[in-house]
Amino acid sequence: MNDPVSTGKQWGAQSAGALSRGAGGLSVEGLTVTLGAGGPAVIDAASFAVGPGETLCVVGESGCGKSLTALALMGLLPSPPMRRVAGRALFQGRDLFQLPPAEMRALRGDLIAMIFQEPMTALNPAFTIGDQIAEAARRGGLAPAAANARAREMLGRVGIPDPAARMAAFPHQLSGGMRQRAMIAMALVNDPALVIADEPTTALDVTIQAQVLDLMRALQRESGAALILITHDLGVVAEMASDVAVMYAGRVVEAGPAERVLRDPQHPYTLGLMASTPGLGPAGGRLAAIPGLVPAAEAMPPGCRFAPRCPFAEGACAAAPPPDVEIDGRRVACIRAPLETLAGRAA
Amino acid sequence: MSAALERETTRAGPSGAASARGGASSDATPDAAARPARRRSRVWAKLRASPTALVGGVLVAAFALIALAAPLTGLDPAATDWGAIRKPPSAAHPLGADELGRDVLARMVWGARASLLAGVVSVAMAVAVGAPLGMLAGWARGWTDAAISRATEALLACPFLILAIAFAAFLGPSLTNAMIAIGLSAAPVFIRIARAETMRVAAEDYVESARAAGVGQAAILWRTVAPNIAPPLLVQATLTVATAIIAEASLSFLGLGQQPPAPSWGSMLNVAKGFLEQAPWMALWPGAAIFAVVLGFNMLGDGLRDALDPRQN
Repeated sequence: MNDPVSTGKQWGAQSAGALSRGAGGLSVEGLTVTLGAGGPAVIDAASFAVGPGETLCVVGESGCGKSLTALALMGLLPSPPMRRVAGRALFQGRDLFQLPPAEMRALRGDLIAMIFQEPMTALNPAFTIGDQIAEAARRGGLAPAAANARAREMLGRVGIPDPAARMAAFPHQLSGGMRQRAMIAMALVNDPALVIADEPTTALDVTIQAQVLDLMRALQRESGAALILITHDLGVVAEMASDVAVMYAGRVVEAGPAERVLRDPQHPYTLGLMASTPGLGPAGGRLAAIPGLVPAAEAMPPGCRFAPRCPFAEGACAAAPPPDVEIDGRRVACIRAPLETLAGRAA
Repeated sequence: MSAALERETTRAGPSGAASARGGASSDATPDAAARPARRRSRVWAKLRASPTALVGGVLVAAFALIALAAPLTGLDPAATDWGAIRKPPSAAHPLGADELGRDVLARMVWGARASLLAGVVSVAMAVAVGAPLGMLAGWARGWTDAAISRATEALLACPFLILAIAFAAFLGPSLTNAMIAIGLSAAPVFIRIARAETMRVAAEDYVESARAAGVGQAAILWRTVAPNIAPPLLVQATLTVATAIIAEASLSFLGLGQQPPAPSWGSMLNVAKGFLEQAPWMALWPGAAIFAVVLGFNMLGDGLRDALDPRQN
C-alpha cells in the first residue's frame, strides 16, 4: 500500500521579502475537531496548504466541515461543543493553534482577515460602513483621521462609487454586492497576509458574484496575500483556485493543484461533485446526483466516509479509513485510485 | 431617497462603477448632501422632523423648565392662608388652595421637581443597574446567567409597588431613598430586556465578524452589542419614567417618599383624594400634570425609538 503523503508545502517559516508585511502562506496539518470531548470527529486530520499570492479553494457540500475549518483556523470554534484536539497551522513560523488567545486575537483582523458569507448580516446595522471600516483601521494602529482616509481609500479600491459619500451609508442602504464590497474593504483594510473567505459570493447574484471574484483576485494580486476561499461552487473553484482541497464529511479527500484536480479528479467524491455541476450552454441530460446523504457526525462509517455513497466501493473501503496516496501530483484518500484503472467508470 | 440609492448601488462592479459614477452621480450628490454625516446629527434631525417626538419633547422640556425655575418664581409651597382653605381658583390663588390653605400653583411648581426627579433619576438608576447586568447575563451565559436570572425572577415575582415599598421602608423615608427604591424595583425589567436582546445580538453575524476582526470581548459588548440593544431599552425607559412618577406618588402617600410639607404631585394627589367633592381642583392639577408629563415622555420615547433605528427612513 502507498505511503501517506504529507502536504508537501511548508510555507510557515518563509518570509518573502518582496511582499509588504511579512507575507506568508498557511500550512495546516492534521487538524482534528471533535464534537465534545472524545466525541465524533467533525474534522478529521485535515491537511492543506496555501502559499502567498495563491488561492486555495476548499470545496464540499453543506455540512462537510468547510466553515468549521475556517473557524478553527481563526480560533473561533464554538467551544463548547467543538474541541480542537490535534493539528498544526503554521503561519509565519508560528503555530496558530499554540498561540495564547490574546496573541491570536491580535492576529485576527490584522494579519489574518475573514470575509463572511452573508453581507446582509455581517455588518453592524447600527454604524455606517465608513465607521466600521475606519474602526478596523484604528485597531490596526492608525490615528482616527488617517483611519478615515484609509477607509475612504479602501471603499474606492473595492469599486464603490463615490466613496466619500458612501462612508456615511448604513449597511441597509447598500445593495448586497455593495455590502460585500464593504466587507471586503473592512477585511483588507489592514493589509492581511492571509484572507479566509467563507462563501463570499454565495449570497450574491451571479453577475455580482463574478464582479466580487474579480475584485478579490485583483486585490490579491496587489497585496500578495494568501487566500483560502471556501465554496461549494466548482465554478468558483475553476475561476479562482490555484490549489483545491475537496472535503467530504470532515475529511480532505483530495487536494492538489486546481487544474489537475478539476481536469482529472481521482477521488470518487470529486468526480461525483463535478458530474453534478450544471454546465453552461443548452441543457443536456439530467444532472448526475450523488445518491444518499452525508452521514451524521454521530454515525460516521468506520472506514472511508464516502464508501456508503461510492459507486466504486468494495469491501475493504468500509474496513479502515483510506490512507492518502499521491497520484499525478495530488493527494487522494481512496484505496481505489487511480480511478482510470477501474472498469465501468461511472462518469 | 432610498429609490435613488437603490438605483445607484445596484449598479455594482468595477465595470459598472464607471457608469454609476457618470450616470447616477446627479442622483447621488443631493442625496449625500441631505444625509447628515454623523449619526448623532442624523438622529437629531429625525427627532425634530417627527411631530410626535416634537410634542413629547416640548412637554418634557416645559415641565423640566418649570422644575428648574421654581426658586425664581418666589412662590412658597408651604405658606398657609387660613382664609383660603379649599377655596377654588381665584386671583390670589390661580389654581385654588388646598386643605391647609396652601397655594396649589406654588405646590405644583415645586412639586414638579420631586416628580420629575423621581421619574428620571430612578429610571436612570434602573437602566444603569439593569442594562449591564442583563448584558453580562446574556453574553456570559452559563452560571453567571443563571445567578443573575434567578435573582431577577425572584424580584419580578413581587409586584413592582410592593417591592418599592419594601425597599423604601428598609432604606427609610425620604425622596432620595424613594428614588433608589423605585430604581431598584424597576431594574429587573431592564435586566430581562438587556439579557434577551444581548442573546439575540450575540448570535448575529456581525458579532462573529467583530470577533474575526480581533475585537476584544469588552469592546464587542460596548461598541457592537450596546448600540444594537439600546432602542428597546430606551423605549422601556421612557415608559418606566411614567410608572416611576406614579410610584413616587404612591410612596409619598404612604409617607415613604417626599416628606411633608415639601410637595410632590403624587402626595398632592393623594391628599386631594379625600376632598374630591369639596375641592376637585386639588386633584385636577396634579393629575393633569402627571398625565401630561407621562404623555410627553411616552411620545418622546416613541420618537426616539424611530430616530435611533437606522433601518427606518
